[in-house]
Amino acid sequence: MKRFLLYTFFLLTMTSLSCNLLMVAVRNVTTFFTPPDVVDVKVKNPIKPDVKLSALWIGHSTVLLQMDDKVIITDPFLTETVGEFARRVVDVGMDIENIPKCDLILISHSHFDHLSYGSLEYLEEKSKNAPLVFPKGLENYLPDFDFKFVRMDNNDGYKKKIIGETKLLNGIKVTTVYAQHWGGRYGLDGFVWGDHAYTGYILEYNGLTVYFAGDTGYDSLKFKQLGETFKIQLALIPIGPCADCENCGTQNHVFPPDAVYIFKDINAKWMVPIHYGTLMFAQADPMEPLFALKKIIAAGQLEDRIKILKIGEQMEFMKK
Amino acid sequence: MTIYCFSSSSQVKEENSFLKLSTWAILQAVPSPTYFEDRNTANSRLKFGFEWQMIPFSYSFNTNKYLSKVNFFYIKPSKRFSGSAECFFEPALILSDFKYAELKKFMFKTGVRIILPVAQKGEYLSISFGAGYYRQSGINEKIYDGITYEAALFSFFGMLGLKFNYNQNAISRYNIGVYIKYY
Repeated sequence: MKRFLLYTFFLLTMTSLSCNLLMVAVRNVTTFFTPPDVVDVKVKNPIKPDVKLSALWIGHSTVLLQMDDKVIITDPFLTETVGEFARRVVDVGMDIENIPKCDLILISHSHFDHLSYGSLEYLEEKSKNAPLVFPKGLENYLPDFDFKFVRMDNNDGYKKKIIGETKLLNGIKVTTVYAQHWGGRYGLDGFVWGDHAYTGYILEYNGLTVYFAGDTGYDSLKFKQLGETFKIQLALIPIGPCADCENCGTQNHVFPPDAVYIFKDINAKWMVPIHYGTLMFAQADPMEPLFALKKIIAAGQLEDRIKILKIGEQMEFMKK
Repeated sequence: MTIYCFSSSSQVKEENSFLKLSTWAILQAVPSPTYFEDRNTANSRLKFGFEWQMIPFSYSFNTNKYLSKVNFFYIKPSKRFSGSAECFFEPALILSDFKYAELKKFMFKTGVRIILPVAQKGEYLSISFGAGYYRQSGINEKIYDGITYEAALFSFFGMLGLKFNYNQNAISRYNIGVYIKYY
C-alpha cells in the first residue's frame, strides 16, 4: 500500500508538471511506429537569380524566403522530432544540404516547434555568423550558437504598442510586431510565470514587405493597425492547430477563419498558411485546418491570394 | 466568410515575482525516487527513499552573450544542460528502516559535477560526472562518511535523469535513482 501511494504521488507530480506535454506525447505515440510521409519532389536550388519574391514551405512554421538576393528562414524546424516526443508526420521539405546560406534566421518564440536546437545546429555550418533574431526574453532558452544573436524588443508581449523595435540586419529592415501568444518552454515558465518572449516580424527589403506572424491569436484592431502601418505583399499566417477548425480560434492560436481575417485586416497581397500538417498536436489531425481553410477560400474566391503549398513546394510570387 | 471572429483578449500576464519564486520553491520539494543499498556481510537488498536536488551554484559554459554564466539555485535548463559545472547538495530520506545495515534513515551528499551535452544541446541527452562527500549516521551513533562518485544521464530537457552513486567506505554503497528537477 505504501509503495502504491508513493508511485501514485510520483505519477501525479509528473503529470501535473507536464500535463500539456503529456497530452502531446500520448498523441504522438503512433507517429513513432510509422515513418514520416515522403516529400516526392524536393527543391535543390531554391534561390533563383530571376526571382524577386518566393517562399518554400519546409514544414510547420519553417519557410525559406527569397527576397531579391536575400535568403531568410523562419522558425527553423529541420529535425525529425521536436521536444523529444513530437515526431514529424511528413518529412522535412528540403534536404538540409540544399538549404543555402541564410542572411537572416528568425525565431518567433521559444516553444519546441519553433525553437529547435538541433535545427539551429544544422544551420550553423553554412550560415555561421548570420543574425539570429529573437524577441526579448527568448535568450533565456537559447544556448550559444555560431550566430550573431540579435535580441529585439516586443513591449513585454505587446501590452501597449503593436510595434516592438526595428533593426537593419544584413541590409534587411526587421521590425518586431504584434503577436498574441505565450512564451516559456517548459510549461510553467510560460503559463504561470508569465514569460512574454513571442513576436511576429515584418521584413522589408528592396521594396518588398513580408509578414511572418509566428504563432498568434486574433485581435482585429491590432491587425488592422498593422495593415495601415505596412504595405505587406506576402503574409505567412498560422492556421492551426485546431480540432474545431471551422470556428474561430483561441487566445493563443488562430484557426482558419481568423487567420483569413488577419490576412484581410493587414491587407496583404498573398497569404501562405503555415503551422499545420507537420506535427501531431494534442488537438487533432495535423491536416484538419486545411479542410476548413479550403472551404473559406472557395466561399470567398480567394484562390489567387491564399496560396496553399505542399511541404517542400516553392512558390514564386514576383519575378525580377 | 459567414463566421465572424472577434478579438480574443490577450492573456498577457504580469510577471509576478512572488508567484514565480513560490512555485519554483514548491517544485524543488518534488523528490527524486532513489534506491539505497541495504546490506550486511550476509544479506543485501534495496531500500526505497527520496533525494532532493539542490544546486547552490552553477557555472555555464555555453550561454549566449545576454546571460550571466554564473547562477545560484535557480538555473535555466538550457544553461545547465548545454554544458556546465555545478555544486550540488542532496539530502536524502530512506522511507523505512534499514533491515541489514545499521544505518539511520537520513543521509546527504555534497560535491561538484560537470554536465556535458550529447544531443540537441543537452535537451535530448546529456551526461554528468561528479564526486563529493557523503555522510550517513549509523544507529550506533557511528558516522559513515567518505567520497561519493556519481554518473548520470539526463533527458526530457534535463527534467528527468537516471543517476548512479558509489559511496566509498559506506555500508550502503550503491544508490540508483530517477533524477527529477524543474529549473
